[in-house]
Amino acid sequence: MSEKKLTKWQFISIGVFFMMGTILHTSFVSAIAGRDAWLIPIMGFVMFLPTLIFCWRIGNMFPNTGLYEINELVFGNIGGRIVTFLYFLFFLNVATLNHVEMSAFSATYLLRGTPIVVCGIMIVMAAVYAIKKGIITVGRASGALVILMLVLNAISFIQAIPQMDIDFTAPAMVQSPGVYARSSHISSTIMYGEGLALMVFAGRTGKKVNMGKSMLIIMLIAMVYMIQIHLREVLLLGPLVQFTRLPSLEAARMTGKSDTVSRTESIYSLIMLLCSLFRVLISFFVSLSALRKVFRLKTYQALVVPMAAFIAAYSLYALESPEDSYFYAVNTTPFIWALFTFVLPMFTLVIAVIKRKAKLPDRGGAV
Amino acid sequence: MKKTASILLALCMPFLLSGCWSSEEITTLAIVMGIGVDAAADGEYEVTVQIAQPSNLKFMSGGDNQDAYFNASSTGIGIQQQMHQFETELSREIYNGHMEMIVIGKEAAEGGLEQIMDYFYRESEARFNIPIVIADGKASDLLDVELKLERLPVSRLAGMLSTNRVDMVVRKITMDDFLRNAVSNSSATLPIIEQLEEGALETKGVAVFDKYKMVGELDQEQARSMLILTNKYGGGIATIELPDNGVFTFEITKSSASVKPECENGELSVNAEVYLEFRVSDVSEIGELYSDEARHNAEKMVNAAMFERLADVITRSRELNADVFDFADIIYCRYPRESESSIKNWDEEFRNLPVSISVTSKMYSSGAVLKNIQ
Amino acid sequence: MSESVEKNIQRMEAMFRGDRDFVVREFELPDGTKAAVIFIDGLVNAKVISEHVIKPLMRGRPVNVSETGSAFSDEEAAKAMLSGDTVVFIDGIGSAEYYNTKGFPTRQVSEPETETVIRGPREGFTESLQMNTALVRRKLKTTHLRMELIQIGERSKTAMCLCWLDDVANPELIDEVRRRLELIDVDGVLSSGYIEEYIEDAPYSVFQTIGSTEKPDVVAGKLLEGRCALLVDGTPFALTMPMLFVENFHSPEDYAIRPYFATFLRLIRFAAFFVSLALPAFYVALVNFHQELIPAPLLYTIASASEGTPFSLTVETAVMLLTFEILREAGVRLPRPAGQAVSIVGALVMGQAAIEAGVVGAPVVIVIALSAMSGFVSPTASNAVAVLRWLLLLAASLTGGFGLVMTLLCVYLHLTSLTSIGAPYLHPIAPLSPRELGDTIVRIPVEMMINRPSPFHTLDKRRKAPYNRATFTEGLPNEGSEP
Repeated sequence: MSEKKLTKWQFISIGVFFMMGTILHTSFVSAIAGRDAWLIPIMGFVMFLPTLIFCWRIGNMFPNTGLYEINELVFGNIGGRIVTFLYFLFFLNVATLNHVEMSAFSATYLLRGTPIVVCGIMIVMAAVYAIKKGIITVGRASGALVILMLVLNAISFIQAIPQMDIDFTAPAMVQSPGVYARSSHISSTIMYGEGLALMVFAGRTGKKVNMGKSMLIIMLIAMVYMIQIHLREVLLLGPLVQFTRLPSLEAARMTGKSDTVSRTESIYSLIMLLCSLFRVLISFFVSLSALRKVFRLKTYQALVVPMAAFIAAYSLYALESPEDSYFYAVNTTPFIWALFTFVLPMFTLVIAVIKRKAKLPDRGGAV
Repeated sequence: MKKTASILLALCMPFLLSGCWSSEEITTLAIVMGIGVDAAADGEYEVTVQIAQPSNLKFMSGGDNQDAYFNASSTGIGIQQQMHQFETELSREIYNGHMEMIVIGKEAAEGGLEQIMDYFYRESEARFNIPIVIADGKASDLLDVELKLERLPVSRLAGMLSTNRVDMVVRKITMDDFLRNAVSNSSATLPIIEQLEEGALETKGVAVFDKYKMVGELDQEQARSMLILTNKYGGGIATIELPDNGVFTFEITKSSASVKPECENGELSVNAEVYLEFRVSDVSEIGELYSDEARHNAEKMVNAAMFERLADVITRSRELNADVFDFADIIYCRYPRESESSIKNWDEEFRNLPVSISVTSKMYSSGAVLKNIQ
Repeated sequence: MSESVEKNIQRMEAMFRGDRDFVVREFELPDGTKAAVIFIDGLVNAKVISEHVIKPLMRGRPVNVSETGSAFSDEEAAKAMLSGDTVVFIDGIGSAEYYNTKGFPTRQVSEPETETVIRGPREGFTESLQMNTALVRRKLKTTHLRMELIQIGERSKTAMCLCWLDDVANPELIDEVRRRLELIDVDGVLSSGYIEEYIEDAPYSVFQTIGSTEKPDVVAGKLLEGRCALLVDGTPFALTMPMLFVENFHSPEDYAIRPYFATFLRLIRFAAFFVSLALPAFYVALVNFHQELIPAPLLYTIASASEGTPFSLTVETAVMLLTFEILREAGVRLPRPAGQAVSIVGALVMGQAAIEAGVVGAPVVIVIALSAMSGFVSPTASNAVAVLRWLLLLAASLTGGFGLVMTLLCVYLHLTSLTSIGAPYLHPIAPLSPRELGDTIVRIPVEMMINRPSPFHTLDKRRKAPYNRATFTEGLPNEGSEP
């Protein structure tokens, strides 16, 4: 009697929650763009448009089909599995990097004495539990949680307003173009690009879900959210925003009077924890899903725990130290990610369009 | 079922067997309320921490003679080292989460604050919005002042800086304010607190910094003028000496300054327009104040006096080569391209920056008196 | 069965092997035929038997009891007798007739002790199925109210009645419930609680997914929403299914009091649930791990309170919690006269003495007391809370706020994954259905409650026609105008 499919709003909730997980990555952009960091989500969105168009067109061509099924339809059986395997590698790395960030955050700010390993294990344990419950459950649960997160976010923003100094944003747009290009590239690949994971869920949605429209809504909400986060950081920290590792948290710690309405960073830490957990969780899930598709397994349930252990272990060794994640993220990751968030989808789209045109020559170019 | 149970048990082992790492019983913490840093011989630092005694601090605690705190001092090279030293001595862990103030001795400030600031910046327990003061003398003395109404010396110090006070010539500067200035082209200023005899405390002016090193001081009047110019002055009482040894005391109720940069043919300059509203507090001889003419006279006097003081503070800042007015940022915001090269050389350019000031003041009421009582 | 009365009596006696309450009354019909009346003493109303069964038969008139049936085998006769009917054997007839002469002792309809209301009906179910079905029938006088009799239990042969409104409830739901009931193969069913565990979706979860209530008006209300109810003979608690989590926080008189006040009360109940669940864990997490989140004056109080105590905070909290649970259980089991003494001794003496002796700190006692009191706001949820509290406390004491948040998230996910006979348990919170939040988290005025809850997929979606306040006031004279 209960629905086994995701509805449109559940899908959008999952998407928004996933995108809210970028809150731990704000330093990637802030450290480069400084006081113009709040403009970067807009530019990043523009740079992300090609991928969004991919989602839209592919979504229309293959309604209710997940990313991996689309790969098989477009590239054939073997080709599809190869492409899916490439996505698997991509999403595995996404999960790992997000996991590293989250473990570092927990170990530095929340549990100071605990070794990072333990934090990492706890995070994957929570992720495993959620995945065992299934994505439908997670989708159902995310609706109320997202609303709660957005409300808390608004509260912490409004509460910080008295201490904001609008002068910190001036002068705007005077830095060298390279700065903007670089940071919007980072934004489009890391912040928005990882959102490609949401395309995998297209197969689980009910009939009425229009993938392109939903992705657009998700990305627009994400853009507003990111602008607001960066604004808050810049308006509170000013030039210090380029030096801190977690500008959003430091900004939160500064706000609040020292009496009763203080320590609102606890609300903020809550948001950061849950949103980044969700990001880890979803990317973990889609990589599992990819493995299942590649190897034609009936169910991925058996793989969950080994994969979780792998991610926890890999996250310790993938980078020399968690501090490295910043350098890696700013220099190497955007280009690797761009292969998967831009090149591969474009390639898929082109092949799909060609195939469509070849199949229906009399219809001309209409798809 | 058995397998699940054993896996779960295995996962729980690390938590249960090795104890919890970050769990700290509150009785094992030494709650640091304030820190004082003084310069010691050989480039070392003498660090004093003020640690709270919770049992004497809580709401219904014992008599007045019980100390709610105690100070511990230690000398060494880095601050982190001293903290470990304290932990060994006190057999408790130092906990900075509730720190309320940082006091720095004048000598230490003159030596440069990079190391101290770096320590606080990196550690995640203390917050950024803690006020910093410079002690005219030794910080450890200031942390031991006599207590009148408060229970902790740092509370007394912090209370002095509270921005709720109507008459202030120094402003509370927090750590992030200081850091923001230190990393940019402006100069940071920190209030100086001096301990007079009989346990009285007084704010003596502000210390001026060039990046992290203290290079000079501004006295009370100069500090006030600086606040006026940077549009941060809330109000207060000022006096003018009259030519015939009289005194004209007035209360500035509102002060706003609009500082505009100008660029003519590549020449940068700054134009400051200051607007004051004041009220007469007491006057020795100025004639009857309710006439228009008298009011204009009063306003003119105030204009002239304030102009002199503003000019004085600008001269002083040029002497110290410290841009305490944030002119660098103001110019850069408005003319980023034209000022780029000047900003890079701001250390020298600041001296040559033409600044023009104009002061307008308006007198609002002469108190509750229409005519002088004489 | 034989045609001889004596043989039948012998066989019945053999079956009941000399039970004390097995009574045989032999007599003769006017024409001399032997007849006998057999019943179980205590289950029957003796007056009815003598007046309406034996007397007419002895006079040659037909029996004038309202219900009657025929028994063709010994087992059927025994079954009838065990239900309180009287079996009549007549020589020469190879079957027996049984007449309804039920008269076993039952409790009178009284106010339920577990669900007290201030303003609302005070009738409660009793242990008699007949009375209970009557109580429900009185609330819903419609021909669409179905009451299907089912018998479960090898040895107890407990009768139960599945009720639903067949123009509202989804037939699939009823089929599913019936299917599950028929699968039960058990020795005895002594109370409705047994059935609950057999037909639940998630019997291992701490949360109840089948509702139980002692009040007929509650049952009627739930039937109107498209649910079905199970009345069990021998238990005053009726089961209602499907059940949603938010029902833990509803009270039947929510609809009898003002909307805003009812909303306020519901919100308080929700808040109390969280307080009860998470407060001890939250306290431990804050004081042991995240001291910077506590305002300074409170920190000093807690620190000085903890200075003197011998145990660590976790142990203190756990011990106090355990003590409270023991006290509560003792309070339930003790006979009423001693109950007062327990509360005084427990609360005042033990708590106060413990604090003054320095065994525990005052803040801990306050936290546990608050948490405990909040638990009583919603009795049905408090069972789950009492168990989960410990889990959260463990998580918080080992891993602080981080672990607490993760565990709360896992609890939330667990709740989301539960279904109650197919309906999602956390509806309308998860999946989020804003329209239906009006009757769950808050209590919107009745004129806005138009639709029945959607997860039950009822046949008739609307409760009643929308109510337009304007039409109500039409035609009434305005104040101040000419009458």
